[in-house]
Formats: sequence, C-alpha cells, structure tokens
Amino acid sequence: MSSNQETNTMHAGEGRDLFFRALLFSLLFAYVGFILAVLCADVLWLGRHDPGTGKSYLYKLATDVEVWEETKAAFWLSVVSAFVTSILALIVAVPAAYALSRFRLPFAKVIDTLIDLPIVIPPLIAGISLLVFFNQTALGVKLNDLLDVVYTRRGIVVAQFFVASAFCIRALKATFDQINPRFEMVARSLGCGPFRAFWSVSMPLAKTGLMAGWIMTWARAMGEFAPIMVFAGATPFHTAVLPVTAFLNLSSGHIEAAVGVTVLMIVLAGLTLSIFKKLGGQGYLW
Amino acid sequence: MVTVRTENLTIRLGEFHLQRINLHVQAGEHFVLLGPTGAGKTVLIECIAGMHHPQSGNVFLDDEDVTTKRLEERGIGYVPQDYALFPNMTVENNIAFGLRIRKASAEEVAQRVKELTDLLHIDSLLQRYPLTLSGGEKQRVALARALAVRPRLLLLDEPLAAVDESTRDRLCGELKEIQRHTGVTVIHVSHNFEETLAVADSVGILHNGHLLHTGKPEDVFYRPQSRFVAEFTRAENIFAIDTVEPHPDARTAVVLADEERLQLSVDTANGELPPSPTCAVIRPERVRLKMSSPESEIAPSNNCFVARVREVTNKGALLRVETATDDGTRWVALVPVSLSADLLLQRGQSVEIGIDSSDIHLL
Repeated sequence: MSSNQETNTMHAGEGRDLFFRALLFSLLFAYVGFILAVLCADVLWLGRHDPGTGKSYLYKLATDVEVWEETKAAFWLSVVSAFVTSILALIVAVPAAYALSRFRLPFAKVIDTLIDLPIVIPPLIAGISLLVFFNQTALGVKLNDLLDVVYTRRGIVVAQFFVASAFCIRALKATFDQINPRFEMVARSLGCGPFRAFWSVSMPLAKTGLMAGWIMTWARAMGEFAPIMVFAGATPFHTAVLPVTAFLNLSSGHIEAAVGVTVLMIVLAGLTLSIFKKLGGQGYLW
Repeated sequence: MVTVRTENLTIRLGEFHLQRINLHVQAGEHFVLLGPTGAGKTVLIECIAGMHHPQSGNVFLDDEDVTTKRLEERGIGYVPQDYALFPNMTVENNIAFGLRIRKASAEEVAQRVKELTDLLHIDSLLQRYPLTLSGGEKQRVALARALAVRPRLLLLDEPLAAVDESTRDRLCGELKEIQRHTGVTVIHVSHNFEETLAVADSVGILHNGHLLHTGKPEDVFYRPQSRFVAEFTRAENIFAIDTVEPHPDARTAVVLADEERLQLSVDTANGELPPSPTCAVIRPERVRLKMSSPESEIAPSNNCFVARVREVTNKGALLRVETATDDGTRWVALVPVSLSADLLLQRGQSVEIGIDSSDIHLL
C-alpha cells in the first residue's frame, strides 16, 4: 500500500469518528438547548409588557396583593407538607431500602415491581386510587375516620407520601447497595448486634446518600400535583399547594400569576438539584 | 485458643453446595484452607463465623456447639479478603471499634491499641484513614482490629491476596510470628501454594464443595489422597498405573505405568501400598537431574531414565525443567538455580533422571 493510500485510509477513519461525535453532541446540545429555551421562556414572558396597561407582567404580579398572599400560603403549605412527607418517607424508606438491599426476600421481583408502581402510574390515577381506597373500602374508611385525610391538609401529605416514599426507597436502596455488607459482618464479629452494626457502621456511611435521597424526596413531594388535587382538593389558602395554585391561576386566566409560581418552582427545583449534586448524589433518580 | 470442629456441615447457597464437611483444627494451630477459586473456602469460613446457617451439620468451638449461635456471640475475629476497614474512621478508631462496643475504658482501649500497633508495626498510621493505606498496611490494621477483642479464633479470608509478591513473603513470616505470639487458633483461606507452605501447621484441600484431604503440609503435598490434590499442589509427574507387582519381601513393588512405557520400583516398606492404586505421583522437586554421558548404562529398575530437555523456565530460585524420554514419557524437575550451571541445561540436552523409590507415592 502506498503512503498516499495509507493517508487516505487514516483520513477516512478520522472522518467517520468526527461524524459520529458530531451526531452525538449535536443531539445532546439540541436537547439541553430545548430545556434552557423552555425555562427561559417563562422568565422572558414575565418581562413582556401587558398591552392593556402598558406595564410588565412582572410589575403586575409584584403589585397584586391577592396573588402574593395566595402564593405565599401555597408556598408555605408546599414546603411544610413536603417536609413532613419527606420525614415520613425516610422513616419508612430507611428500613425498607435496607431490607431490599441486604436480604433475599421471597417474591423479591413482585415487591420490587410494586414499589416502582407509584412512580410509574400516571399521577392522576394515583389520586383516584387513593380516593377510592379511603372512601370506598372498609379499611380505608376506618383509617379516614381515624386520620381525616380526604379533602384535608393531611390528605396532601398522604398523596405526596404515596408517590414520594417509593421514590425515597429507590434512592436509599441505591445508597445501601454501594455499602459493602462485609462492614456489618466485621462489626458483628467485633461484638455488635445486627441493629448496632447497621446503626454504627452502615448509617454513618450512608449519611450523604440519605441526605441526597431526602432532599430529592422533598423536591418530588413539592412537585406533586394531580394526586393532591384529586385526593386533597384545590381550595386556595387551604389545600392548594404551589402546583395546584399555578393550575388554578391558569384556569382562571391569571397567566402572570401562573407563570410566577412556575418560575418560583423552577428556582426551587434548581436549588434542590444543586444541593443533591453537591452531596454526591448520582443519576439514580428518575 | 480453641479447637474448631465441624461435623457433616452442609450448606446450599444458590447454586453452590458445600457437602458434609468434617474439619478438625487443633487449638493454637494455623490451619490453611486451600483450594481453587469457587471451591467454597469463603463460604466454609463464613459458616464457621456464623454468617450463614447450615442446612445440616454442626460447628463446635472446643466442645461447645455454636451452630445456632449468632456471629457476635462466637468470639471470632474475622478479616475479609478486602479487609473491610471502616472508611469513615481513622486507623486508631478502626482498631478500637470492638473495644468501645464492649464498653472498655479509655485507658484499656489506649493500652490495647498501643500493644497491637507495636506488635504489627503500625504505630505511625494511627491518625490515617484506610483510603490512604497500602495493601500491606490495610492488612495489618485489619488484623489489629480483629485481634483487639482477643478472639478465640481468627478467620482470615485470603489475607494476602491484595499485596504484592515481596510484601506477601514478609507478611507470611509476620503472620506466623503474630500467631505464635498470641497463640490464637487461625483458619486461613488461600489459593496460593507458596503462602500455604510458609504459614500452615495443617492444610485442608477443598474442591467443588468437598473437603478432599486434611493433614500436615508435607502429608498433603507429598502423599496426596486424590489426583485432584496431586494436580492442585503441582505434583507435575502423575502417571496412570497399568499393573502393580508387589515384591515377595513386601518392602517394594514394581509398577508399570504410562501405558506400560514406564517401570518404577516403589518403596512400600512403610505399608502405604493402596489396594488398587491408579496413579503414581512424583513431585518435581524430588526428581534428580544429572548430565548424561554417551556411555551411561541405565537400568530402569533403578528408577533412572535418560531424557532430553524440552523446555527450561526460570521460576526465581528454581528452574522448571521439562524433559521427555525417547518413548515419550514426560518428566518435570525443579532444579535450584545454583546447580543449573553444572547441568548446562538447554533445549535438546540429554540428561539422566533419577527417582528415589521412597519419593514415589501411589494413590
């Protein structure tokens, strides 16, 4: 083979590599650009002027006391309910995730599928199912008599908990899977019982993963909409959390209020995701 | 110091099956469980430790049946293959962990940590974290942590697998010294032949979930009880036996082997002739080589043969010499490098092979 032919072959190979990389990166950047464009559109829209008043939508939003009060109430309701939900989810998820990670369970695949189900089923369906359970079944009705959750603020926590706990279990199982079970075996050979080995060895090692999982569970609970609207209702100043408030504003023609809540939620999501990444959270969340 | 005994220990873990293991480890002994990867060595020591519960059979520490006892109640020190040092604790806290669990006073903890760090020469590592330690340092820290609580039995799962060759040789000596110093009974899992010879008082060979042979290293290596053990311990000269003719004096026997190409005179004075032997085994280090001269008259009955060198491989202090006789019998010898110059070993060189009749083992 002559040196010219060799050069041509090498160039053809390099060309194919370049084409392949260009294809990958163009699709990647196209999608990232699409996300950025959608997020920026909200902020840019708020800066536009209302043809009726000549003032910007942002100005209109900032001077509307009623919208402020409603958004403030929804914000605190969302923050507090998501906090309570994330704590309850942790209480259930830590032992559940540890059991899934460490023990061979009978019907493990069935249990695994059932845990994923609340994440995968459409949120509206989750809300309807909760309503049916607490309104139409003997056990559910008894529980509702005891806890008073249907169309109440407590119902917000129940609706969030139904989905967010599954999410939390998944995140924490990934954390426990990364911790070598031999640490606990060694701790037990040194005199710890199973609970103490878990508490003194595995829990400190899982600390960062637990924090990351907890934060993302909180964020997920903050974002719940359909199950809350169906199960807890959509009454402003009572059961309307931030996403529900955005929807109510949109339905009643208060576009600037809906977009304002949207921007607020995007900022909150961005902040929680940054903290999650800072804590070393990995791409196991979906 | 404790005697360890298992009786018909059977455990099934998924596809893996450990079958009717009867093991006896004397108090204060360094017992090495040797076998290829996947033989069940780790499962067996984890079962002795109490991490798995057997389907049947029992584990005894001295005369106490501990089969149903929990891991933390057995008084066993455990060093896993990856050492499993707690990564979020300093070396000092790792070593002191078991003592603090037992609520030892701060003085007791400090004194015991000092004793062990002096014994294992790791006093300079106390404030370091496991991530910053070398393989050898991790091994010592894991050993110190296991010894801190004065276990009755120490289980070491391939403790030298993650260290380089030169460190391994040094650590073998230190392991033996520590075992003598503390007097603790040790069960040590290994797949390494040299490591086993360096530390073992007794050896058990495990294969496919079966304990094939236990005994002193010299018994296992020079008098294996099965072909697998002979092959695994690298007794490279293994010949299928065709016929055995015991001599009337009952002190020797003549064996025809390797499709009747090989006649061996075997010493049976110690009464070890099995009823129907199938293999003759001669370890390569027991094969003597010397330069053959053209006028050499070799009488096969004297266990002497002329062969040609096929391959010479340098194994450090030894040379592995592969030879073949004219009728195709393959012999392997291990020759000290210091003697190799006299033999002028090279491919095609004619050599004389000599075997002592007492070095031939029939199984």
